[in-house]
Amino acid sequence: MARNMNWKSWVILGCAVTILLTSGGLVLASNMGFKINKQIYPSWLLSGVPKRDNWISIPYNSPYADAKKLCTAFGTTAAGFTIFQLNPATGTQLVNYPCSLSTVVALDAARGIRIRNTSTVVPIITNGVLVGSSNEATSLPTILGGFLVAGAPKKDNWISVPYHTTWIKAEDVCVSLGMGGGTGNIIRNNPDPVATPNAISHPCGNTTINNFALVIGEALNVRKTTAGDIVGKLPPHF
Amino acid sequence: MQVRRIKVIGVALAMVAAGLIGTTPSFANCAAGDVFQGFAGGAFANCGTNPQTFGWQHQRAVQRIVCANCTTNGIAGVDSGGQSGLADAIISDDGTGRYTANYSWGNFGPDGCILIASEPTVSACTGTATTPGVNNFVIAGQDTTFPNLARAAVLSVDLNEPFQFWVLDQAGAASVDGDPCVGDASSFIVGDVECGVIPYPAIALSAGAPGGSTLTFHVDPLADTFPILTDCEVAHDKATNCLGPADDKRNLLVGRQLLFRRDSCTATPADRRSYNIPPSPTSGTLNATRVWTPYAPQDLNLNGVQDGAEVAFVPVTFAGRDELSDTLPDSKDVFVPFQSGASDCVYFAIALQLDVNVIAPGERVLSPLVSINPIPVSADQATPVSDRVVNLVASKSAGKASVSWDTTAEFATSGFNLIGTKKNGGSVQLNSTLIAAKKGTTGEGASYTVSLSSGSLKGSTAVYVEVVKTNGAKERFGPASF
Repeated sequence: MARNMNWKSWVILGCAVTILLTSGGLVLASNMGFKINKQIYPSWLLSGVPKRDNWISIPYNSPYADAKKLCTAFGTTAAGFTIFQLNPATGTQLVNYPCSLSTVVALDAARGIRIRNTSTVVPIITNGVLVGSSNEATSLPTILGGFLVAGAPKKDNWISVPYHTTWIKAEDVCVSLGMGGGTGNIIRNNPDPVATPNAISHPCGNTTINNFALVIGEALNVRKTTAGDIVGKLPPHF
Repeated sequence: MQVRRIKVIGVALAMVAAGLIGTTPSFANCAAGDVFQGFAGGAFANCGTNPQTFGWQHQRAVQRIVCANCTTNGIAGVDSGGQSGLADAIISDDGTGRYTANYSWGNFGPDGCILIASEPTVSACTGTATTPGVNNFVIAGQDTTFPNLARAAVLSVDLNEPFQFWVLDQAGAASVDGDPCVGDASSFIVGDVECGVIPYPAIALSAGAPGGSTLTFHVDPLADTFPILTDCEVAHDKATNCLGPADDKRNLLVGRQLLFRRDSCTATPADRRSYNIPPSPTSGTLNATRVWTPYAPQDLNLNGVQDGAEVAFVPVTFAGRDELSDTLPDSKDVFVPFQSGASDCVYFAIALQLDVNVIAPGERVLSPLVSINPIPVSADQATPVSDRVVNLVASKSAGKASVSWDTTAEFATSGFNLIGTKKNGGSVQLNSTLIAAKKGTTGEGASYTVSLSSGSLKGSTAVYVEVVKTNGAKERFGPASF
């Protein structure tokens, strides 16, 4: 039977094994490839935010150097399918790209990406297969300190999390970033409209409060309330 | 040429579209704002069952209206809307009945943004002039022993400025160094916040009056055990926003609001919420439904609305915790008009009325649950229904049976018999001796539970409770099936 398999089958099998081993938490080569079928919640409504706000991570090495390529990966050219990255320095968009465009707008793979899908074009996009690998040289974007509630989303640092991160829970992120008690919080947004609550916030330094488990493929928001930025942090991964 | 024009227009339209999307806020209801509890392991304890909560920006709630996407100062105020309890994950249960509040204003459901109105003072910690202000939070649950009573706790905390979120554990915390930017920012209470009882309105007297009756209500201040905790010892705004009395520095407690509800005379209303607040709509606003309505003697048709020839309503409120600071029951004579021919009853309850100094469009807040006087008042007669059985329940399992009931005002009750009925129509008395009345002639109601073995049911499939009056007369209520 093995002789009947072509090279494509072997590649797919290899990817599958890689994903399985990665999710099992085993230590493998640091630049392993992976493939994930990322679910996207469509039918976004402003009045329901943050429901259906899909904050995703893309691999640090990936074919999605620009927003159009990510649109293509999700198989859509719909105007209602938007790729967004936040500029935490200004609180406005770094990238805001309807998939109907054909321009080339670069994506920062280390930043979280928000996907909103209001498109009614059939078939409704509810998932996309993302592939890639790690990039040892890619550090997290500068995490800006001095977050103020009144200024949000300014200094909301949405970071892309490596797919084979060693972080397991929110407090692991705090520890890794050197954020102790009273220095900020880590926020996950669950886009599932049925979920309550959608935004879950963990205050660093207190493992008894909302120390949520990270979800592969999702981005995280780091709010650092103390002064000083975190620069050039390499996210730990297997 | 035409092709080029189309291309230019297309690109322009795309840019406009991108620009429009770019102005969309990241969060609909509020860009930020987390509320935490449990920094020192504490939670809400002894709050009973079916807990409901309500959170709001100090002085700016409008509890009766929810809106879809309130980021401006509108008629829906600044409060937590339909998000109210365990189902919404505003609070979580640790499995032992201790509730912890952890939520975000950024989640869908809060119908107001706490960034709408900021404190006028410059932050001492961050130097910013736009600092979100105080958040208040009330939790109320149903007492497990006395289900007609609500248990509650009221908390009020300013934004923790170094942390940039609200920490409910700072309510009641002691000052460490007097500096809200340093030591006081990390001062939290140790242990749980214990909920206490909201008193119910006892009917002490009933007297005839033209067109109705005058009921004398007593509300016992010694039953006021609900805590009001603020962070005024450690808050940044303690010099400007903690000027109330020592036991209520944020001026939260207006008093104990008398409420009413018209319902069947045979069972105490099961819904103990002051409001039924709907989830936020997808557009516009929605009104909450009052489950219990503030009682005003001017409401001559008892429909909760000023209509016909009715004059302006003056709702009945017992001020503060103890109106005369004498620890004696606060007393008010309240006119209740006849509803001639009505077959239903009027029930009375107490809710906490909160937030004294509201700022328009803000309104005062009611505790999410109420304490009910289970004695029904006949709408027709405007007097307490006396010597009747309500809330009759029979059950049977594992060889044992149980019959429970409540009484309305016992003015002339000697005791009770349980009369079992069989499928063939026969009946049999299940108790060998008269079950004595607990209150008898005091005018108070009581709760009864009688346990029986299955054998002593003697084949009964249902049961009546027979009230034996002091003059020997008997009246049956029921049946309830086993």
